[in-house]
Amino acid sequence: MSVYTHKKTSNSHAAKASKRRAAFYDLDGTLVDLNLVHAAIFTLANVGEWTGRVSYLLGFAARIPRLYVAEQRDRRLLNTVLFEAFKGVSRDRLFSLGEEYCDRILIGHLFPRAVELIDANRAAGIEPVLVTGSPDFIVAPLARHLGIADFAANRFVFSRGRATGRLAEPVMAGDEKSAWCADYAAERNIDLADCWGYADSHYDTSFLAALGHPVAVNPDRRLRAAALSRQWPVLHFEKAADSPKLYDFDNPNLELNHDSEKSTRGSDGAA
Amino acid sequence: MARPESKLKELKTAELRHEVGARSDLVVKVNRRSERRIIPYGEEFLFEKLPVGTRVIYPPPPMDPVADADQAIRYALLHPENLDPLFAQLSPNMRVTIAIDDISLPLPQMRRPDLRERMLNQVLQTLADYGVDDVHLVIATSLHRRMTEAEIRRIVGERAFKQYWPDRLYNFDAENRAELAMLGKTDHGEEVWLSRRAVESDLLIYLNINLVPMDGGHKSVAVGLAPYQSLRHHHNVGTLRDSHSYMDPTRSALHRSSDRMGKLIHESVNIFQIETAVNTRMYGGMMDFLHKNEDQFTDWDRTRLKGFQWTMRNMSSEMRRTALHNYAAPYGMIGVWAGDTEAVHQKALARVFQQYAVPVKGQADILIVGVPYVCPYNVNSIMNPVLVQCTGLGYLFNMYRNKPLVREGGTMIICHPLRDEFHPEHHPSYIEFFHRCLAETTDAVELEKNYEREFARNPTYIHMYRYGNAYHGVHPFYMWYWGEPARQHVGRVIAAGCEEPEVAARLGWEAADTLDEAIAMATSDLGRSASITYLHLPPLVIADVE
Repeated sequence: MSVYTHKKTSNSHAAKASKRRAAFYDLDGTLVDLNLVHAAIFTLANVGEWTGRVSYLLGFAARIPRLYVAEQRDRRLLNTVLFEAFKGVSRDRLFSLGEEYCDRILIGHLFPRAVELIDANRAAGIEPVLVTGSPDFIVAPLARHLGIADFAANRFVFSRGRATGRLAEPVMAGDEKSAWCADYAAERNIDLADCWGYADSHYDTSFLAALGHPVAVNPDRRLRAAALSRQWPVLHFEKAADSPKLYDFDNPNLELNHDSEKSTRGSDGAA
Repeated sequence: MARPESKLKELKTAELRHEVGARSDLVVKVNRRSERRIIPYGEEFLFEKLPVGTRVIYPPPPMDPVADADQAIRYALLHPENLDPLFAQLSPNMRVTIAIDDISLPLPQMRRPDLRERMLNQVLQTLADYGVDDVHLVIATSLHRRMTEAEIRRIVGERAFKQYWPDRLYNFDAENRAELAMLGKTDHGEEVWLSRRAVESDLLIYLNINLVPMDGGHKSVAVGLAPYQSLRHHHNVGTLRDSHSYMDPTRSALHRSSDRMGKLIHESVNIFQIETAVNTRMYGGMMDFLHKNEDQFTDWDRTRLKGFQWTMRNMSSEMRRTALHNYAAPYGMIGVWAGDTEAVHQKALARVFQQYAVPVKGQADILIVGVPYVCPYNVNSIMNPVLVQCTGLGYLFNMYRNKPLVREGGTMIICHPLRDEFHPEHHPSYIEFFHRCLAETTDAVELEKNYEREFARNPTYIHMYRYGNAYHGVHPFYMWYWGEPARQHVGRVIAAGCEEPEVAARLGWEAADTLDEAIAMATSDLGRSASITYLHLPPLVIADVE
């Protein structure tokens, strides 16, 4: 399984929950302005002594034509080809590089507005879940940083502590993402129709289509076309935030009093 | 430093061809020899034969604009109503905020220079002359979408844009809680919130354009610079049901509520209101045939109409939309007043009614209207079905004083193709409203009770409103409530020329393929003697129904 759950909800508890909602976020291009290839190059460039690094990077370079073709055709194939380059890297090294990559690079590339939206959704009772094709050794520290309990990411198959270059099934891409979301929601008694989904690539069309509230974030050309024809909202995150965080759902002084709201309704605004 | 006050003379507009009471030639009965009539139909125009006996109400011809708009504005600033002239209120270290009407006015957008640019240049010059540096320009968007940089540049002009954008020229943000201030409650318990910058300013100057009598007055500040917390007190089902009509502020609960709020705002904010009125010259040049009575069409007019129809039909929808929204109307300014909000608005209202009002005898059984490609909420965007509903039932139904043009229980025929299309960046919450909420109920009270708050507080919609160019999450509800007086009044609504009957059904309307079919459906109930009235657009007209 490529599914990680820090806080598993028991079935009995899930059954009690009347109306739970979740927001499923893709990562690359959606929450951060980096992509999977960047993470791969960083990892391979730091994987061992310089001779090892050169060897891994050359191996990666040799895969570039295949990666290009894969990117054009199928996201699952892209992941498969990309992660082959990691064959032989130790599990410990991968996880320590994942922490380093997250701390040094990934967090700095988070869209500030995306973080704000995750927090606002959470405050509104919509629990965040990451669903991404990035590897788990990078996603886990980022999820921790964002306070996200549950995520689905790609995971290597290891043999004697070293990556075999193969990915464990299910490979998180395309339809697998939507299938995972369906399982996740069913387990927790969540109706997918009440859930939100955020993604940037046309490869995520089926993932978004499975959710009641799909949102195309910084969409590529093909996802934008899909969003237009399917009437999905389109959202843009930018790198620089030009104003401070201003959502303040927790401040009772600023929230509306529902009773007073009702009392002033009616003709002429009179009670 | 001071303006050359003594040299300025008030510029008067030319007299109308007829006084309002004598505009009988604007109400025409269709006979056997009558020409077909132009009817707005989304991004096209129909040219349809109407049944003999149909009453057609034409808008009054445009009043002549003031000869020199800049001079007229300068005169207004120096001779304000019930207040000292603008320059006399200024001192070097004061804080001034200038609030400006947003892109929803006028429709279509006006040719450059926009009246806002003209007003702004005069006001900024006066402020500069008197050493006032702390000046912010705020686009009074309320819960409308943020205007883009290019749109703002177009309405404020190069000079103000270069000097103030983006730090001191920006869109109002109704979800920026840190920038909102609560001023108190009215005696009806309505919470009054306002832009903190405006509240903390020594002087708030509001630059307004009155296209219809619904605009301006206290509504400018009390709505334009207010968040949901304030708007919910008058943009609700109860208040709007008690507004007869929106175009008659004396009989509109919506206006009474915003007036109460405005008065409370005036207690703590020093407001200098500048209101302008524009004439009905919506189309000029090659398009001026749209203003004519079709019975007086020349061959050249018919050729132009056919050419326009052919062009529109053969363009892609995107090109057609772009072309139409890029069109700029040659509106002329027919008045400008400055000073105390109420005194200014009374004068502006009188002029607006002078331009738009047409006396009409009696109500009709059937009212035909055509919904055009633009309404206040889809400038440079798509006219989605919720907005068609708002324009047809909300605006066009309300183009009356005294009594609605259609009798109680009568039928409204709304000409529009009614396609299921939405702009995903401008109207994201409309999509969910239409597909989810309206699928469950069209009852405005139920919608208000069950869904309004959820949409108003939805984080994604708030995000898209604040950082994108989306209308606020609650906006589609307001559009639906806007049609509520009409829904309460008419018995049937038929969408004529409807291309997607399921869209009409979702709105609670019936669908007809053609106008003829719609009329046949309406008369099947009401009988062949049913009286029919067609409210001719463009431009706009307000019927004084006896």
